[in-house]
Amino acid sequence: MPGLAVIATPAPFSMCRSHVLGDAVTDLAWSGGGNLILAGSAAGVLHRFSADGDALGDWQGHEGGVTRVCFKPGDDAALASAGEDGYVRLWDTDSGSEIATLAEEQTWVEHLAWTPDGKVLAAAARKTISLWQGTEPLGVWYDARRHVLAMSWAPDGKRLATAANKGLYLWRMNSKHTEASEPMQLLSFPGAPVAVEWQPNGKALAVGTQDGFLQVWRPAGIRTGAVKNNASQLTMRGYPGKVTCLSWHPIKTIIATAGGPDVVLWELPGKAGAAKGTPLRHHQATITALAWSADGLQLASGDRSGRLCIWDREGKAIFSQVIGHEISEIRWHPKRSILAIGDTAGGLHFLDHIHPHKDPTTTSPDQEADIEQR
Amino acid sequence: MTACVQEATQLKQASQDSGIDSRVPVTVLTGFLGSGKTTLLNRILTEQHGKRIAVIENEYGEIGIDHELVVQSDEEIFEMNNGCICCTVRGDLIRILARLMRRKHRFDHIIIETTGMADPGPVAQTFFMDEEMKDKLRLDAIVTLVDSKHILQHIDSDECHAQLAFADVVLLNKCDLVSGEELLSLKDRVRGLNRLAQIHQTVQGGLDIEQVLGIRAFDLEARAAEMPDFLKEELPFEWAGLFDLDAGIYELDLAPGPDPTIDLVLIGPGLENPEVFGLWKRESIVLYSSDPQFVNRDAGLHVGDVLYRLPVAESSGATTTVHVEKPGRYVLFTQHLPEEFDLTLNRGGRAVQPMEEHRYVSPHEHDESVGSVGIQLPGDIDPDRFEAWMVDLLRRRGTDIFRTKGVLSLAGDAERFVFQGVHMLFDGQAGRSWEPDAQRESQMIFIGRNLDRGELTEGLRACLA
Repeated sequence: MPGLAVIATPAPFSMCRSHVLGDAVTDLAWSGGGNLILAGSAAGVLHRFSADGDALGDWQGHEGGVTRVCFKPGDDAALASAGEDGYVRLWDTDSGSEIATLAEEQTWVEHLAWTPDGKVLAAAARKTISLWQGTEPLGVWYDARRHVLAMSWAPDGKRLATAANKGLYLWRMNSKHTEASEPMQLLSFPGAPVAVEWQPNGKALAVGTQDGFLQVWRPAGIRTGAVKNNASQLTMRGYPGKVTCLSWHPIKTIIATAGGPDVVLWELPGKAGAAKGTPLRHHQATITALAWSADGLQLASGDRSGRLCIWDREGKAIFSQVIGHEISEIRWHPKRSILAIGDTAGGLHFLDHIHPHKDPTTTSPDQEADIEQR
Repeated sequence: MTACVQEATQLKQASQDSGIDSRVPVTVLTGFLGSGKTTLLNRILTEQHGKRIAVIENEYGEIGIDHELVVQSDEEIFEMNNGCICCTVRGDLIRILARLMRRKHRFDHIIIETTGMADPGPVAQTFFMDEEMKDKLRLDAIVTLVDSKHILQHIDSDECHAQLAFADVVLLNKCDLVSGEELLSLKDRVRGLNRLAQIHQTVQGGLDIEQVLGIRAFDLEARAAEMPDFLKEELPFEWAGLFDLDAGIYELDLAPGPDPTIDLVLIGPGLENPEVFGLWKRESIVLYSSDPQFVNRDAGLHVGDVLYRLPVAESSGATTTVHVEKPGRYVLFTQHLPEEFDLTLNRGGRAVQPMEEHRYVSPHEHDESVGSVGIQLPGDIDPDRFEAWMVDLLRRRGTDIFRTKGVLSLAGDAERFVFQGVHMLFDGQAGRSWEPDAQRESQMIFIGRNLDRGELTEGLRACLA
């Protein structure tokens, strides 16, 4: 299974649409229903496309680059964006009109995320995390000691994990949604984080660091046999560079990571023991984007040379092609086998599965059974 | 394994990869508050030079943030978890630069402004430590701007020393506010701290942009071509005399002088050829760094690779015999100028006059703890041994070694290997090819605190192939 992957022929994916935007694609987001995809650019423009890759118009969202775009979960008509101009804005995606300007910071707003239920939006700039419910400010979490380097909402929407220099912290929303006190420190490690990601089931948090480490925190209470474990920390090393790419498998206890030209899959141990790492080797350049498909059957990786690779669940590369320039973002359609890829030269590419007779919107029963077994 | 080791193992590959360098040059502009950085930056940004320049300024900068190419930074320092205490990078810079470099329209040049209080190390190291930065950017030069009037009062501070020692270019700004004499002395001080820096005088930051941007200051080879004698000034001796001597016994007489001892080396014969003399001169640096041997009253002084130390009595001075076996041209190196001790070489009561004299600037004129050590060595260097030596040296002494630059003749390589380092990290690439008739040699310079010339010279020497 591991090792140098051989590419199956014919490749089951093909490029169906490509656009060139005015500047680099900095972020991509599919609407929850999957009808729309929004691309933010380094020129501050928000571009709207249909799921089939038709351009549906664009508008200037920010001065300077767009840093993040996030559809409001459960509402395909609402989109939040953050920019280098220090603004956080809410948009009506149907018309491209602004609903509200939520924040005006003096610096780049680098992080933006909705809770999975779409109730709360969090934006972070330097040491400040601002929270909103709808357009109403909920409060500010501020820690004078630490810059927010990465953040991720827990699936329950009540806890926000933030990564700061040498540590991983957890902020809790209390019942009244008022200001939190001190964040709780979950992990302490040397080095500075560059990415953080909750496992979709909330049972683990992964942090990638500047100096080539992957740290995983697992809360107390995970049953392993009859024994209840204490919270634990797993440390994985050996990356040649900063671990910027993290993608949890949607179902299994596997995380895909990259901090160099190899994709490294880690299967976390059920009981005490070491995590098992499997390198997937195909890229020659540093990997810049990584994403599992919604059904967990495919993993896509993009690198600095513009190569996109799709891996099957056996870890075999089933598609590999240089599709543009340095790949900045990869986003799978939430339901279909469509893949949107943005690059730093403004290229936005759509890939689709080439077997249209087989309806990819539903996972076949035998595939599901297979996932359960593994 | 530390990052230093990773860096070093890339040394050979890098030297073989002599493709066109498409990386964007980065200038680090440093200087104390009020030295005129803002004026200089504004000039650079408004001048018609056709370059697309991005400026990253620190939090307290004064340039309008409306300027689309100006980004504010936080001076956020991250330690690298690799066992090196001085491996630090600027996290904010990595994030900002990564975004700037992921744009469709690339910048031609990036300028990073830092305050005078900050150690330029983390900024410079960012370009060695982070793979993405290394891949897309190259450190062009560290430019230090000083207020000529102000710095005269503060030049003895550690911060000042470090700032000046780190610089590739020192801009003596506001030099109209000091006298010509003060300016000369200031230049002298800067030179004492950092032998390699290019020094420019400016008024209101008014200078040719070409002197600051895109100068590839790390290229020691180019620098050495500009000032071929930059190593000469570092001779450990103040004086060298060439003598035509016959076989026999001479006498060296010294009167009491400013020091209780004087160090001496006598080498030859065969120094008629100036090139051979040049070679011996360099060798003498190595000799000087070894432990001196006190002159034995009975045995006297002999020709050869020995550094002698001669005690000079406060009342009577010193006299010793000098034994010459073969006639020919010899050179006598002395630690101090002969006139300080009324030094004479005599035979049969008659003084022998040197055919030629060379006087060298004392290496420790200001007795600073910060200084430079230059080494020049003919022959080829063994890449593996060099790598092992550098890794070990920088691991032990990296905190005190601010900058390292070199042009090496690596055994088996057709091109010169050009490299630079900041603290514990270094990075290099292939330079110009060796001409078929060129004498292959290596040059290195270390700039830092409490440098041990002997250790450095012996270390490099042990790497000879």
